[in-house]
Amino acid sequence: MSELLRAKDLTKAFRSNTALNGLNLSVNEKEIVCLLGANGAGKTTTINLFLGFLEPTSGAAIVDGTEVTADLKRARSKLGYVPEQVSLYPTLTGLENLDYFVKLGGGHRDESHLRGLLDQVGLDQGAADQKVGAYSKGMRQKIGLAIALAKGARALLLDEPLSGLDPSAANEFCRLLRQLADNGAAVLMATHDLFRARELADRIGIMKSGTLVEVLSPESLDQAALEQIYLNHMHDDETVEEA
Amino acid sequence: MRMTDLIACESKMQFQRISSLLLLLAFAAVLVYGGLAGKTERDDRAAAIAGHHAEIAEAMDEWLADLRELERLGSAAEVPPATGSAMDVSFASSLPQAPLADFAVGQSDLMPFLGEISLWDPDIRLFSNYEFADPVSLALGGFDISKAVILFLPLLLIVFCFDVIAADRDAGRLGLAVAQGVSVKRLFWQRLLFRAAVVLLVTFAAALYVLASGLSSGPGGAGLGERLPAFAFWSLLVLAYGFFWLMLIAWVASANKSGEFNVLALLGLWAGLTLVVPAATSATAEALYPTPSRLAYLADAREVENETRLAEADVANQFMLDHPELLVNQESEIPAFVQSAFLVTSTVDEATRPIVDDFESALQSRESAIGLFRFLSPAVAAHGLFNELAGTSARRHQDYLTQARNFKADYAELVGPNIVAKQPIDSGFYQAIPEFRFAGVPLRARMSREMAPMIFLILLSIGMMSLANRQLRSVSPIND
Amino acid sequence: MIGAIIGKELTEIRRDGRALGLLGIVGLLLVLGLTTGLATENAREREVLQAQADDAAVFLEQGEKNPHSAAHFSRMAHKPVAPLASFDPGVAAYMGQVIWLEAHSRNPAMFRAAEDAPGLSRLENFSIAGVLTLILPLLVVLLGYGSIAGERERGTLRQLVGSGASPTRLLLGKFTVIAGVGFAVLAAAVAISTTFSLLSLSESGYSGGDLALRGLSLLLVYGLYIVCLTALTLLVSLLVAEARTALLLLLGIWVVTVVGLPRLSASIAEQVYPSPDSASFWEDTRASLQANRPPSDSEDYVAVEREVVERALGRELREGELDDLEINRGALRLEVSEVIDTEAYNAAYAELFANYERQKNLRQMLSIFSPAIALQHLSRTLSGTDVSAHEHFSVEAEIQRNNIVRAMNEDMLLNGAGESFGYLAPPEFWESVPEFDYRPPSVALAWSEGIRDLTILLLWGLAAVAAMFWFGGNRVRV
Repeated sequence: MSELLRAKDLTKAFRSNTALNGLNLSVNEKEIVCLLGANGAGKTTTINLFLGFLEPTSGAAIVDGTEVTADLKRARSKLGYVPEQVSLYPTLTGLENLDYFVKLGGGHRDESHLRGLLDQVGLDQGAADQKVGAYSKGMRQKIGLAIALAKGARALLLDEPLSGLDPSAANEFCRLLRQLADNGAAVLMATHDLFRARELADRIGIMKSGTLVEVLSPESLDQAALEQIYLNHMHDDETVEEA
Repeated sequence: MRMTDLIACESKMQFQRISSLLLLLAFAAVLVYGGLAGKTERDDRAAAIAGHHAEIAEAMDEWLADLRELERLGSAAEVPPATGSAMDVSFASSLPQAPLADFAVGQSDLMPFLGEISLWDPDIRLFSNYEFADPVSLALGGFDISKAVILFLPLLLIVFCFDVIAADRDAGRLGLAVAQGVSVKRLFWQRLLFRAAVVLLVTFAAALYVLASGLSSGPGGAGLGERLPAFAFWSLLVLAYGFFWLMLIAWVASANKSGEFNVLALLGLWAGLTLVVPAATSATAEALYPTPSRLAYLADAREVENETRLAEADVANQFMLDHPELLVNQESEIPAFVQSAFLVTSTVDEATRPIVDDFESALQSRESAIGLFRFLSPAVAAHGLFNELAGTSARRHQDYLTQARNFKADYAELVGPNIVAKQPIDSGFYQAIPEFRFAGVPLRARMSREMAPMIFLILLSIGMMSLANRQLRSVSPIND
Repeated sequence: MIGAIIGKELTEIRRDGRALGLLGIVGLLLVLGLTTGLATENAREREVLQAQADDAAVFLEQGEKNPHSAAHFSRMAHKPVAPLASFDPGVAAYMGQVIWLEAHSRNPAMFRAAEDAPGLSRLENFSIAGVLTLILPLLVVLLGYGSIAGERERGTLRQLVGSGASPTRLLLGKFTVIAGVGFAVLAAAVAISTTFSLLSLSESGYSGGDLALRGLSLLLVYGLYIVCLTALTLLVSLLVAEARTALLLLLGIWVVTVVGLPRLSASIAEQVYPSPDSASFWEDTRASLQANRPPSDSEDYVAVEREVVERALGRELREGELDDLEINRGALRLEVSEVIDTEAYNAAYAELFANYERQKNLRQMLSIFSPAIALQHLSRTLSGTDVSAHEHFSVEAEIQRNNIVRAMNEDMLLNGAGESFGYLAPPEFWESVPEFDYRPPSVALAWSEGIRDLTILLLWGLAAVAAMFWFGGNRVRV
């Protein structure tokens, strides 16, 4: 199994505050890894470092063998990204938004292909032609996923994609992610939803104050272990994570 | 992003909105209105000039007919007593309309552009009784396409470009876009240039319409061949002016700030550079470099006039002493008041010439002081250049007034002896007198003396462009 | 509660660097406007007074001279500089400073100061009034654009209204603070400017009391303008969802109503009611002078002759006495033509000023779209630098012209019998000609001129305030 995402001693410090401290982590194809942690634990910083939105203070973020700082363009070409809040152009339809973002990436897909993608992420055809301004959060997340899929990204970075989704939308989204992973994608998802993580992930990384404190397998997590993690790690860190 | 995709997406998202279309339409309407208002003014001026020349020509035809009658019949002719007096010869004078006069009203609505040159009038009254224009529209400045460009082109550029990146960033979309693999720098410049191109396209479409509508139609019309070179200059200026503003916008918009910050900063810069700096500059220059008082000039002229009248006999004697050839002449035929009017006027002119010279040098030293301020504001530089191009600058009007005064002085020199000797001139002599012709500075020379600030602005723009480019490197796709 | 709102708003302004920065710039511009305005206008006033004195001296030193010659030489009527011209130079610089009171001809005022001003001033005028009209709105916009929309975006509006705060009071508090800051700037500008004008008040004919009243009136109309601006700013901030949209919209409104429309309205008025060019003005006037002159043997003509002679003699004439009188007939002809022509001249100038009035009325109509137009009218009128002030001067100068020319003609008529144009008045005669004692119009004329503009400004203010409270009351969107 090839390793699509790899953090090697990845460190990011903002002045006196170390947001991420020597992270070592890899995500293989067909694997979903969830990063769990309170606000400020370093989850989003990790994702931003993989995306090249931030430059690491030391260490490296590597995407499918390409170090992000060495060849940002190549690294990004292999990445799909779904932020916590998928912000789209409210006056364009879902289909038009998808088309625009695909074109921004220099690609070009015909309409039937794009509709197929929307279908794949579970957005019904009626909604695809509605303006995004009227979308629910779940629908916007689906567009976000479709954008990531459209470029044929093999590594997906998801930053709290489930927050604010109602349970059925979250279920559907998780089902989609599983399907993508089964088809060969590597998924790195930041979340603070313990239960979803246990259901979805192949591995769960627990982060606290910028450090990866534990990597667990979901099978090892019974009710008592979950409670323990919650008490130990899931309250807000005092340090404020800088974006 | 491919160019065609960019154009399709940008035009859909930026320019197919009703508000954007209305804005562009309003801009085009203001430009065209400015052009047509400028054309009306130009045609009115041209008609007034034609009327003035016709009126003087008619009067001089009558004068010449009387003179020929006198020459034919001698003292038997039934003609007015002063027939043939060089004092009664008057000349039409006017400032010719430049081919692109409709593009900038400049000072042409305020300063004299025509006037009768007659020895009856001392210099101070050479151009008088023309002050009838509506003072309110004068005070607010004639409206024309150049002024519309100076004021509103930057605004349109600001409105369409201030959030070229900030809009996506503020809405949290920039991260998503950048994750697609597009470079912020490329996205920034592509969008900026495309949006600016649309605004400039509207500007030039309107300008071409104004150019065409001001062709030979109307009394002030000029042919395309004459108008095109000046229009090419005009277009280059508009481009340079637009370039400055675009790069200023790029500099501000690339600074990783919110759209709100950008729009405030840019609007502040716009108000400062196009309204406050020119106004404050001119007010300061006026206070620091006052011209000599016109009222004192008038008072001096009247004092000399009075003194000359009181000592008229002495003045006439002095003139005779200066022109001994007059003493051999035959008996006088023309009434004495003509001679005395001439002596008074020319004495007054001579005595007040230093004041006029002071005036001109004061204006000049003030203009050169203002010249420095042109480097402070592109609006000041463009205003000067547009007026030079249209031939409606204060300087060109001043040149005209100076040339008219000099023409009168030359003519007085030529015919003074005849007038003082109370002798008529003969018709052959009259016909050999040259007409007044305004000697203008060629377009290229006029433009070149105004070019330095424009070149400075372009260099500044290039500097801002590279600054923007550098800033773009550190644009963060995620919000602070 | 209002106190708390005002306190919080003021603290925010104090801590917002942008607002303080702009306030500083406005202050700086006002100081620059005041100093340049005072320097220019005071120099102009000194010139007027000096020129008046010189002109009087020259007139008295004419020596022995034919009175008709003297009537051509005549006097110059110098328009005094309005003391508040340093506050708002208005259109005074575009209207000539001195009228030649010449026999046979009613001349327009000559030497428009603007012709000697830098051409650059045509791009934008600069004065305290200009800063208040143009830049003060920016300050109001900056202070107010986010005051509701920003609170809504941050969610603090929801919280405030939810916890029982009255939206109307909230609005009132914000209104008081923003308008208060604007008014403080305004009051300082008007007070300083009026004080300086009072200090430099000379023998130009303006009284201190009148000047103070003008200052107060200016405070009132600019205050109304600030009320309009503040209410409009808050209204927009109420109606749109985001602070950024409010800012864009308000800046757009500012550009259109304060920068664009005043210029455009003047241009449109000039296009619709074009001012005559000098050639056509004189042509028309000459034609109407001709048409107005009755034949010298007509009854009308003789009646004027009689009137002229009776006025010169100071008594009524007996029947048939006119033909036998020992008078200078040339002088009689001159004075008769003067009396007859005056009518036609007055009609021509009345029409000229009526046309300016029509242009003003049209601009007034357009001020429905822009309160700045009405404000500019009022500001000029109250500063004594508008067209009506100039017209007042022009009419008074014409009366003086008639008086001077009549004095010349009557002297020749009564004392030059049989001498035709050879008559010379004695050197001391010139002292008997009355000086031009011009009293500029009081603030009452300004108010009667400005009443309609004031009404428009008032309507603007009322409409904006009413709309603000309508949308900002309990209906407020949180």
